[in-house]
Amino acid sequence: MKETIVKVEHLFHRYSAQWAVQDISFEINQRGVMGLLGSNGAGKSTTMNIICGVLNQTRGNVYIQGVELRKEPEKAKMHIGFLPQKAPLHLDLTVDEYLEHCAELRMVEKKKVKLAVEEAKARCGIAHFSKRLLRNLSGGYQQRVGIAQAIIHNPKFVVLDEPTNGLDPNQIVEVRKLIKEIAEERAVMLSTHILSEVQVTCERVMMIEKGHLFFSGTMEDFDNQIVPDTLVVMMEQAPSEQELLAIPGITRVIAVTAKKYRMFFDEDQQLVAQRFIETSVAKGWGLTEIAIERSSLDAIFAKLSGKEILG
Amino acid sequence: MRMIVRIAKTELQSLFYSPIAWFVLVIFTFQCGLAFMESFEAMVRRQVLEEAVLGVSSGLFEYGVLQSVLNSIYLYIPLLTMGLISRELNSGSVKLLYSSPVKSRQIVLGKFGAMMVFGFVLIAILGLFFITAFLTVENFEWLAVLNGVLGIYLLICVYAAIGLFMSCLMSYQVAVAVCTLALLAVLNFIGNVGQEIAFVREITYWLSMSGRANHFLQGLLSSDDVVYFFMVIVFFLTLSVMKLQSTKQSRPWYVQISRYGGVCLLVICCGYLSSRPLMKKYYDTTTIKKMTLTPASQEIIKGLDGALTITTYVNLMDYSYSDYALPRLVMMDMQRFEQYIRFKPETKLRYVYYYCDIPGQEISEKHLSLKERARKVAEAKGLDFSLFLSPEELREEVDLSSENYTFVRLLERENGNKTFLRVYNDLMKLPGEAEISAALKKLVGNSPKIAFLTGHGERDIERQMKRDYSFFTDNKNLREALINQGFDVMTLDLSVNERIPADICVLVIADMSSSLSPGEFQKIEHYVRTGGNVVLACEPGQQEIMNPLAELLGVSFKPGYIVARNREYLPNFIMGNITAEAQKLMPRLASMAARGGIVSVPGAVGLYYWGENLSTFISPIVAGEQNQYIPLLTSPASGSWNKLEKMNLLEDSLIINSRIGEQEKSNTLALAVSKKVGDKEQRAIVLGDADMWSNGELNTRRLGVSATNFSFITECFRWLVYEKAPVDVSRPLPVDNRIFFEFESLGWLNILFLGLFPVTLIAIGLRIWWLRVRR
Repeated sequence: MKETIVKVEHLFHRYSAQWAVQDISFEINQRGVMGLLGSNGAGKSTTMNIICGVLNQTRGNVYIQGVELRKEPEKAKMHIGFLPQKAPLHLDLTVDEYLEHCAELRMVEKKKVKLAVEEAKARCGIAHFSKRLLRNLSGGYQQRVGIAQAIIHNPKFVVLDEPTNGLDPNQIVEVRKLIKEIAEERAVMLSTHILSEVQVTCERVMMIEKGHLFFSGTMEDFDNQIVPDTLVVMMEQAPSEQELLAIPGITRVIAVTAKKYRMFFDEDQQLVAQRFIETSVAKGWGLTEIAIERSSLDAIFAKLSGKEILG
Repeated sequence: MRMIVRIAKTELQSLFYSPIAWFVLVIFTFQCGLAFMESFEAMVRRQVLEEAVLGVSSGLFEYGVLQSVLNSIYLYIPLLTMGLISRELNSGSVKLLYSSPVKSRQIVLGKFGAMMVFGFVLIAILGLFFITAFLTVENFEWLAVLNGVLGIYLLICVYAAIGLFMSCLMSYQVAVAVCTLALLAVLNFIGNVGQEIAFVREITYWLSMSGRANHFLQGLLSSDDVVYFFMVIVFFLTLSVMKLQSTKQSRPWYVQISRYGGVCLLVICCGYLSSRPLMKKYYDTTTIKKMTLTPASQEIIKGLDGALTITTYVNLMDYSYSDYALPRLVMMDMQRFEQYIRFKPETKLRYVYYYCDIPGQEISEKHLSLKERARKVAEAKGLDFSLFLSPEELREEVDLSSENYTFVRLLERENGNKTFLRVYNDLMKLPGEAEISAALKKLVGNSPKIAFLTGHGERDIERQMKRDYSFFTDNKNLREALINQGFDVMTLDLSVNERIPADICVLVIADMSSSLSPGEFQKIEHYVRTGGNVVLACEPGQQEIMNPLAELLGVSFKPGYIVARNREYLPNFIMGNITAEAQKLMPRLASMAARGGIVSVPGAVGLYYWGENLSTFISPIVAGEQNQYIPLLTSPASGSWNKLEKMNLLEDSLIINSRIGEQEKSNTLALAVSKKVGDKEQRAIVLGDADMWSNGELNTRRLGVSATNFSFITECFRWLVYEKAPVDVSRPLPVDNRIFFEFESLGWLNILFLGLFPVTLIAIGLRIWWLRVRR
């Protein structure tokens, strides 16, 4: 039986009059990256802040490793590593000084502080910056230090709130890689409003919109929710739309240009694609390009939250 | 604990890696150096000029370094505290603390701990001056100075706690610093708030920080002040913890408010209890106990068993003094009795307000009734008129007609003994320790009684004429008057009194113009022979009437009168020199004599006494050989003599008529006589001039004449009543009156304190900063 790392029950939170989070419940009971997806202001940060004990919920319970966060916050927080949206750095300290501070705050045994700092630095690839002032590090490295502080005490559960925000593309790639590595040994919860980040990084995904949890499941389940996908094809000798509709499985055809079509299908995409290629070769349509196009993030948000797909 | 230490350590790292901490250290060091060197230099300079330097330790610290720190520390601390929490709120690093297994309490204590350590650093800088003084000042009052340093340290901690709380409220650091300063100002000012309302005034007065640290600087350690500082620290730290918790927790508003309200209430209750006299404890750290009542006053209070009530009667129409105890100043007025309440905590202080016209005071707006005028005054002063009793209502409580309805306090013991404590028509106005203790001593009931004989044209203690004795005896508005210094004065008419009452301590017979009847003489003779103390004062021309009494003491008033050559005044004006024997007998006169003080004697007769001149004076009834005679005042040895013939003082030229026995020499003008009678030492004073104690003489100022007649009177009576009054509230001189330091080396000390130390700190600060920014 898998142990439950995090369990959230009927979480509600209200800022003065407005509900930021309403009735969110979920469980995390395995390693790997769990993506928390939602547009800006959806309630991702509130949820994460509550799970990490930074914010006290209006209603509901959070259990970390079976310990109720509200009742025994210190005990529960020992299992949490948290990187808020803005890395909580003391810019006038060096990397070592800062990480030692974090290690002690996270109750790492006095004797093991140095070791913990070294390990975290090595893991995050910042060992060569030990004596550097945080202020003098680049954004990407500051973010790595931020991640290092979140894992320094080897927590069972790490929460990263939009960790790639504000980084350049190279840094984003590196940080995503780092997150995946970290997640090999623990559960990581990562919030983002970038769909591709979820697709690249996460194994499971939850989606929040307007404070409500709309979806929770594996990446595969999530992908399934994104149907219908389309086949986009380009041909030198393009046939008429009727000829294309005649291929079994294809339900609808939209001409994008004179040579390019988008085709909707209702059967297995592999099967439909195979049929199309066979037909194209047989009829000499001169197929130059074929691709499966997945739904856009906006569309998914809209779909899952019950809105109409526009355009 | 580990967590608190960790948070404190990181905070200190941030603090010392920032220029602001070093900036504060440098300025603080320089400022302290400046203040120390200023007083140190001044004292060494005075020492070189051989002037007395008294109380070097308090000069260097209480009025020097520590005062300077006290005046400016409120500017430094907000600079250090403004970022404590607000920096974390601003940068988001507070989430690191919140998401770690750290309690809000630990965060607050950690941050506060860092400020406590920084406070220690500031105190360590003060240590440099302490050590310097310790090494150079004779009998350095180290304990009192340490007490002052403790006061400064507590103040730093209080400011830090307040700054920390403000830092929790806002994320904008400059706003935090400004608001901290504002809150400090409020805490200094709050003592003036709500002073008109009886219960509120005690709370707001207690809340006020103003003057608290000064008690420490003066050397007084009081539980009230310590509890105050401690409570303020706890209060603001608790608020800080609650504020941090409230950001993590969403509680209903009424829960929040009741939590804050509960803390406020708790602190106020603790504070109120700690400020109750019975709960207060004091420790005077000075060697000479300068912050404590003198032993004499303490002894008097010991004798006051049972309840004591001090009722202050304030007349709204008494324009000169009523302001001392109006409702808004009552707490300040109560402080005037703090040292007495310290030794008699059950003392009750009452205030009664009334309105009544003061006899002799000019009344404006006569067309209005007293009540209407009083109401107008009350409105003009912003007072609640309903507080004031009408004259009729007052009369039901007390009769103040004898006090002329001016500001007065009635001291009342449980056993019914009462006495008045007054205000005086001098610069100080309010009674000091001498007067308060004298009044309290009257309550114990053994104040010496001075009787003034009447019925033969003597100087009167009730009449106000120039020749009379009312000024120094019964003048209620005069601080030095006998009645205000612990004596009781009364008149004695022997024609109606069977005998001289036994409880009389001194009988004054001043300048009779007619002789005593044989019966009266017998009564006085019996009184003197049985050891009664007496004052005899004669005037030229009255020798025959006074001599029978003087001879009872082995003294005789010489015929004639004393004259002296002087340009400015009539020849019969003599400057009576205070003799060396007198200074020995009455030591307080010595300092006056040393400063050139004399007793002005307008028209005196010389005194013969047993042993002075046996050849010319042998009394038939004298038993003088057993008496001890001490001349108190003498006329100058040159240019003065006993004039035996009559002359026109204005017009006749002044020559010594040796043919009739006039001889230029010093004459005795006042004499102390003492004699053993049974177990008792009889004491008497004989004055060759009754005028030297008169209303007229005491109110006369002469150019170039430094007359000390009043002190002379006081000291005569002190001696006559065996020092039972006035109360001796004199204190020993400070013990730290010398600095062992060469004047020539002052320059080096200046370089050290004003140059080397600050520059070293700048260098260290810059070095650290430089090393860090390059990382």
